[in-house]
Amino acid sequence: MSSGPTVSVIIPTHNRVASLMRTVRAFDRQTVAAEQMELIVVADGCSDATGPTLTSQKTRCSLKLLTLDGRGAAAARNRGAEAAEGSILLFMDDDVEPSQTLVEAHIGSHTTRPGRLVLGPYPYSLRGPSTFYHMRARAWWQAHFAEVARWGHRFDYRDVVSGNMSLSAKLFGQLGGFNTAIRGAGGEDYEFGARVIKAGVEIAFEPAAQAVHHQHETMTLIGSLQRAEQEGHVNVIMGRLHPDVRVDLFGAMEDAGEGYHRHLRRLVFRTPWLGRLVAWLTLQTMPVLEFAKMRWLWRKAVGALHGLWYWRGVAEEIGSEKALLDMGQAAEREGAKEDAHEVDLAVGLEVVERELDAKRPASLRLRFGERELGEIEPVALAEPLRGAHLRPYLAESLAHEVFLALAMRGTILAEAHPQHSLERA
Amino acid sequence: MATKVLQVELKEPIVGAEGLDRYDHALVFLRYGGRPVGEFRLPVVRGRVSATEIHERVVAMECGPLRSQVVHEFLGWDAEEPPPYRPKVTVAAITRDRPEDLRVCLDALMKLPDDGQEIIVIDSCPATDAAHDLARAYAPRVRYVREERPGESVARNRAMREARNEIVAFTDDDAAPDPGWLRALARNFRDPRVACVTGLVSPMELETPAQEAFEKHSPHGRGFERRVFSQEVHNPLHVAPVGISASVALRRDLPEYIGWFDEALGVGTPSRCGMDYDFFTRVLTSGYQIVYDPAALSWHRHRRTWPEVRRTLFGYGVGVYALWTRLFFFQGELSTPLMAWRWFSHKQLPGIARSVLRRPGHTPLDLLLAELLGCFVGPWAYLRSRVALARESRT
Repeated sequence: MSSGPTVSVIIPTHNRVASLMRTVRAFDRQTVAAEQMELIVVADGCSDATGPTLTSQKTRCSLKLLTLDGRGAAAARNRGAEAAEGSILLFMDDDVEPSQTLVEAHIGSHTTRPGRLVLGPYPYSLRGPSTFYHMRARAWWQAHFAEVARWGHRFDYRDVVSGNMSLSAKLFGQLGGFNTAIRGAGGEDYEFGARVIKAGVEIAFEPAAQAVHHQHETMTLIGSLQRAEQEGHVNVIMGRLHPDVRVDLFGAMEDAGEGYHRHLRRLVFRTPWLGRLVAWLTLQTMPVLEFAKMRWLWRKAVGALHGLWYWRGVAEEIGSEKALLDMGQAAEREGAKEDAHEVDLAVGLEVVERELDAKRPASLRLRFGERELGEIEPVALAEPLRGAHLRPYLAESLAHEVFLALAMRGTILAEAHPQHSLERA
Repeated sequence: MATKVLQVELKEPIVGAEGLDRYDHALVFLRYGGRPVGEFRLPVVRGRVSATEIHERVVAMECGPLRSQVVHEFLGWDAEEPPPYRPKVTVAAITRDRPEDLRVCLDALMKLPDDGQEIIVIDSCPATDAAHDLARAYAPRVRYVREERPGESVARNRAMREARNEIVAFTDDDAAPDPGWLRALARNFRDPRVACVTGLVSPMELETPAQEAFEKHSPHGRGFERRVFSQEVHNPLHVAPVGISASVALRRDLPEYIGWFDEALGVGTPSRCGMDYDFFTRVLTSGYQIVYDPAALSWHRHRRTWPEVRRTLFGYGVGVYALWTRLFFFQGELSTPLMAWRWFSHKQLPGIARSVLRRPGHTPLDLLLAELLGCFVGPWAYLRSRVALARESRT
């Protein structure tokens, strides 16, 4: 006797009816029984045929259509969650197409360990060569999912991308949903991720919850620049809401990122008209650079363009450069200096791992007997350290120091030592 | 004037070598738990190399890959997550009238652990039935395919079409893969961004001056560190560090997205070479990654005689410039003249100067001039090659 759906799939959408229908139809083909699922599409300010197409669509599982008047993705997802009857909320974007076993994989992950946030991969479907911009965007997404899928990855707020994610309805309610102060689309998932981390919720990556991102159909360089501008807005909002991330965003103000970023920031704040001119000129040269296959220069130009749009978003949200510098300086002062937890590898790796799982420190100082190996610094809005983080960190970042420590103990290459009895004088 | 190739496994007691009177140097190839980690040369004194000498050198050397291996072992850490990724592979050995080399190659392939791979021999435009008869001796483990049209690219494209498995691994007939070769290549495909994997090719023997000169001037190996290449961080036109066609694996469906091996390039065409570099460039400019994994080890028999080495280096010059002609005129890569200039000013010219001035370790002048001559011939060779192809397709 079923008591309603287990999973409520929430899809916010804005004028992408063809893409949306592809997603809806893919959800209709899931391995999970139709009675266990419900689809909730939230049409946010749609002026195309989204409404009529959906109402005339026959689906095996229940399909609800809600409408909003252009409030943004955050509000749309919250609205969908309000109307949801399932105990698990699965958020999916309207340009992401789930594989047949996606819902099953999400449910499976929650069954393994309830109370977690589950993220699934959705890299681009694009194969083969394409425009410079498409290839760059594809590489970025693929790198993101490859990183997040790594065993022992330390999750932080920027890993939470809402195109393919699920959590229990109860947890969503406790966290307070998405922040509707963030309008448009973009960044509201990072802000949600910040609260997920702060609440100590476990984040898990489920590689079997595969989906495909079709955004290459609509993605353009301009769209990406608009997203960078949005990110500027959101970062300032984040800086106000979550002081601990200010260090990350604005702390190292004078040399934020590449050297020229400082100049871009000054350009946008002090002489906005010149900033707009430089941006326009650079934008005009992009097709030329691509035609001449000047990849290195193209990459630099794209980086500069994203910087200009980003700082414009920051400027619009924060108002003045002084306010920005104040925020940055406050961050430096407030920087939490919690004492690093100390561990000694000489007691045994498993012992240290168990200790980390129990203590969950924000930062770590590592020793091997008498010898200092190094530190794992605290990272703003990243999950506290766990046992699983230890070995990958040692293998990748502290390999040299570990080697020296082992060499001092005389435990390396012991087998290779020539046996003198075999040596003839 | 010969060098003995010695293999040393660092998880076992090091043993010296005797009876090396014919040699004046030893190339000590180091492995740790079977994995290649480094190499160095030692002089051979009175026909022997002692274990102590080897051990001292090992302890003194700054060997990054060895250190990584030792640390990973201590941590119980494998960069490759369990369960091990073992896709089905088709191994393709391209051969042309070299039955003795092919036999060594096939014997090596028989020693690969069985992960369900299929092995095919592509007999490229053969003059005799020697390869056919040889392959029959290994049946049913080896499948024989005869390709009448000449050219290395044609043979490779044929192999891609004949392959039944999702990954195709190529070996030249004068290369003998190590038992761990296939698994090391295949596991790198777990990352979907990786379209192509190349391996470390080390010299099987350095018995003649010609082989030593060749190994010194243009070794096949690309070092002992695993590297991932992508156009996000590397110039996709600069593919020399990526690897070599004697040991390369790719996804079988890759030609659908980036095109086939260029039949106007490669051995058997006027262009002589360049087919592999062209393919690597296309993989990178299409946004895919190439992994160079030295754990995928195979042994190459360099040409034994001086005239053969000279011809090979001439062929390199032709092939590289043929490739650049293709890139410049047919793919709109306008920065190729810059690359030609850099090769000339940073490598070729200094090499010639060192040779003329008889600096220690110089490459003999006739080899360098052969390569340079090839460069002049390259562009015309490529155009001739394309014309010949066009004519052939019309008939």
